[in-house]
Amino acid sequence: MSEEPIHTALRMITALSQPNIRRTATVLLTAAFLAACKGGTDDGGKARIRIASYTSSPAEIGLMKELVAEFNQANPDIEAVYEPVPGAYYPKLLTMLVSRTAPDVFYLDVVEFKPFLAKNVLLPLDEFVAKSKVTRRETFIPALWDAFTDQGHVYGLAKDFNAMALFYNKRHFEAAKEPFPDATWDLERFRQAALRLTRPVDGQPVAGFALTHDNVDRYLPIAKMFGAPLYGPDGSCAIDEPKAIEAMNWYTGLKLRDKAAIYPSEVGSSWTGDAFGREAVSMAWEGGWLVPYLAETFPKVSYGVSPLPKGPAGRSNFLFTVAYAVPRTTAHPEAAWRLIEHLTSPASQARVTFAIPSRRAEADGYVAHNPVYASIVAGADGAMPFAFGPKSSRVKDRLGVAVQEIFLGAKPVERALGDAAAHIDRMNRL
Amino acid sequence: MSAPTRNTNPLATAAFYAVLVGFVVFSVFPFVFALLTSFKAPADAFAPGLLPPTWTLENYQGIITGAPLFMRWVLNSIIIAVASVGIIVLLSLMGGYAFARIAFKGRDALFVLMLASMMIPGQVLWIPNYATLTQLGWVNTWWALIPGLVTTVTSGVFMVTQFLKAIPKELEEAATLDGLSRYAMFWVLIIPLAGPVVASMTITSFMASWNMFAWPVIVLNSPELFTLPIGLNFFKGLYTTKWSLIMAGSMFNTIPVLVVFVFFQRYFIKGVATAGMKE
Amino acid sequence: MSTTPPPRPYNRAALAENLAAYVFLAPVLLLMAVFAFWPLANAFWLSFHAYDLFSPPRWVGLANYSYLFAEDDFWISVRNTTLYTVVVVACQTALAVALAILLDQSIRGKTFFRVAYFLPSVTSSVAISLIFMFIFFKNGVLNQFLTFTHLDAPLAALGLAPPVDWLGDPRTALWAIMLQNVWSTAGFFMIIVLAGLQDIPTSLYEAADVDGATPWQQFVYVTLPQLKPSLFYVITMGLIGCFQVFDQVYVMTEGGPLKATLTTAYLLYKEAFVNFNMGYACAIAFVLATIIFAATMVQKRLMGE
Repeated sequence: MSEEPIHTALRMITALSQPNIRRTATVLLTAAFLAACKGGTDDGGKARIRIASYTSSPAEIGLMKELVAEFNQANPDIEAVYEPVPGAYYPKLLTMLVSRTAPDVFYLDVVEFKPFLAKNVLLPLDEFVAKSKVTRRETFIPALWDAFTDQGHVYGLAKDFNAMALFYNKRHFEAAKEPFPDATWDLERFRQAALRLTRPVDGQPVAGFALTHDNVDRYLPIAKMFGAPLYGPDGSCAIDEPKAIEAMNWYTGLKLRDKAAIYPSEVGSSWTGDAFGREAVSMAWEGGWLVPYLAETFPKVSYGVSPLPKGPAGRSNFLFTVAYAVPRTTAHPEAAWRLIEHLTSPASQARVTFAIPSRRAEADGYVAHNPVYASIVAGADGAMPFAFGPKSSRVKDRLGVAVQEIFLGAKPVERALGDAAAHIDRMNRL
Repeated sequence: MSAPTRNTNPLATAAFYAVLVGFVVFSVFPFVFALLTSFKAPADAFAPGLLPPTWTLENYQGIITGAPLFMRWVLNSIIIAVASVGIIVLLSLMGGYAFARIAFKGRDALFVLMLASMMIPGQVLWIPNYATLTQLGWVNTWWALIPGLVTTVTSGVFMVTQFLKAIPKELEEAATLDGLSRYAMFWVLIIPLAGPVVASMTITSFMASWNMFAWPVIVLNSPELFTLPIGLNFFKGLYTTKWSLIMAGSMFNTIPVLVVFVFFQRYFIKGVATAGMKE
Repeated sequence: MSTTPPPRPYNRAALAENLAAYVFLAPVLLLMAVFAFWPLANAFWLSFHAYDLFSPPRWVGLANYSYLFAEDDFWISVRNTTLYTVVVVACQTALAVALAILLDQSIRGKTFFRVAYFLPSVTSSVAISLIFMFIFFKNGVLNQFLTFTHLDAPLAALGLAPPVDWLGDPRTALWAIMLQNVWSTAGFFMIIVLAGLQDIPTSLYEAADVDGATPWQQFVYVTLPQLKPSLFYVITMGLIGCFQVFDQVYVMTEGGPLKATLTTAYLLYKEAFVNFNMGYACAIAFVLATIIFAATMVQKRLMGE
């Protein structure tokens, strides 16, 4: 496929080395013409489909290659091509969708689901699901199935997921004579521990907790733990309700009042998991992705994982997940579905190593082999998808600004959240 | 401007070199850090101290064995870089020559238009350019890289224009009297004089082509067509970053450009013609 | 373009000159017509439309522009971007000239120094970001240096209580990114100045020597005026690059804290590819281009180019 450009390029180089401009121009033009004539062709009778993914780890690319190769073996009437995209994924996907050259299956983050749905680019998968023997809501973790469902229609199947849990540094806890966290912990118990853990260990200053002060990844679940959802029953933004304010006061209090928490940037980290790995903090709320990071980069840290503490109104968490989705413009919907079904089959799901399988039985099997993920899988139940509606990214950014305003002291809590709620309502009405 | 050579005061010379070396420390430190980290085991990436506790080549081995297409990407990068540098330098010299030395109709307007085209942020051109490439059937071929290098060509024309302006016009007048045509003049007069600007064009366009990222990622679908820096991005995890591996990978971006730089910076010397020229 | 010979008096000669110019320009013009002017025209047309990428563009006249001028975020981004550009272009140009002149001397180890100063522009951006994080964080190198040299006291008097979280504080974040940019681009522009220095006839320095000019006088009266064409290039490309600054913001701060590093190009990217607002993004692009164009013209006038 790429032989031709190589040859033409070589011809161009040879041509350029001679001081003959006319000859060069001729070669250039001929080469351009030849390339222009070469178009993509479909094999007779064979449905050729493409699947695009962004690349979050070498392990994931490796598995995808294997799964697609096996699919092609088992389905002689289809030729699936795997196209990993090593950067600029969404600009590329949008560009291809606009020019009707989109792949037949693509990764879609849950945060982008509603925005894509609003643009009417996703193919509903209901008819295929209805005919399927293995793909049913009950066999998946229901929250993941629902994350890509809108008004009863399914638009994507979750490929895997992650949720947050409480990571704690065993050495710090032992030095502070503090018992390890467990499922009974509530937010107040967590705060008390953070206070007591904020003390030097081996002469190095350590803070109890690392929090994020520039986004809502931690605050929104906490608000939910206090009983405050992002949107009220009437669909308007409810993040300025008294319970949400109470939650924010508790969260900022960890840092501003208790001095029991730090920002990762204070210790030269770009995220809380890294600060945890450097042992600058004793506790962090992170997803399962922290496990391999610690194993590779900070293997000496002795840590445990426990569920996030519960709040006055119960438990909450964020569900980070990605689906396989199909564009409406696909020429081979049936083939695309068969590929998705193969990629999410129990056998394929059992081979996921970089995140947690989205099928219930396989997720449990995963935990049986890797007990460290137990609290994360448990966190998935009752968790909310990491999504903010059709104006997803705008809403997320606006909430992030409110969090920054509060932590940097630019606005008091009530006003920051009130302004954000009003602004979000305006954006959602547009 | 030859203070240190003629100034015999040893104190001044010492101060001069102190400034030079001081700058070197600032400039070189991150590169040295990256280079040394690339020889550390992943678990030692954040170990205190600059030097690896144990030196290892496992990152480089990991890249070469972990990427079955590694040699292919190296070859792709070299072919694309050599072809684009050749074309960009030639087109820039031709365009720059016209702008700097010929008083043609519409010159100033065209020049301004050319400059203005670089002032539009490239992101809004992605979709229309992609549509054109779809029409031409160039998507997922190396021809699709051309729009990603147009700005480099434009700035190259601009650079050459600015440099050729400095050449005294007496040279051309003499050549005209000798009966040389514009085309002959370009080859026998301008090209030999353009040494330093060709050197800097070569360095900058090699950099642009070798490190090109966003546009190739958008227009190339098959990993077999990728260049090395793009392919190496497969090693970057969303969270599970192995820093030492990333640093080893970054050497493949840095070292080739450095080699080209070392080779071509030799041409930053007085051109024979300008050195003896009387104004 | 004062050095160009005047058009020849004869029509046929003039015609030949014009023809020659366009022959030389033809490949560049063809490239630009297809991959610059055409998409540009397309973007300009879209800037008068509401266009969400997936429904057909809808004509809205000047609505995108009037919305833009009423938007706080746009003005914040213009203010940040302008400050960024002025500081970075001034510093990187001055540094590039200084480095190039130092390295144009007959000194020992010239190649070594040239490579060393060029290195920042090809060092991995990941390595650079890591290093700068290390410099700027609260217990980082910069704060330790300030404490050591007792420079933290005057800073505290300015309201920056030590230790400062340089990237996390809205008053300093943009400056931290500026510093990183100057550090990594000065060496690149040094190459161009270095090439420009080679075009200056040595006879001019010899004449200045005869007149007894000091090195500084030589710099001001010989080097600088002769460097004008390359400086015009360096500054114009600097203006274009800085006004369109995107990568550093995208990687280091995502526009925060409190929009202190929100730049116009970052705003444009978000509108185009995150918020599906392509028509609006195109309007931003053309306003930004107008600003860059105006800045270039002012610069051209000031330099007497």
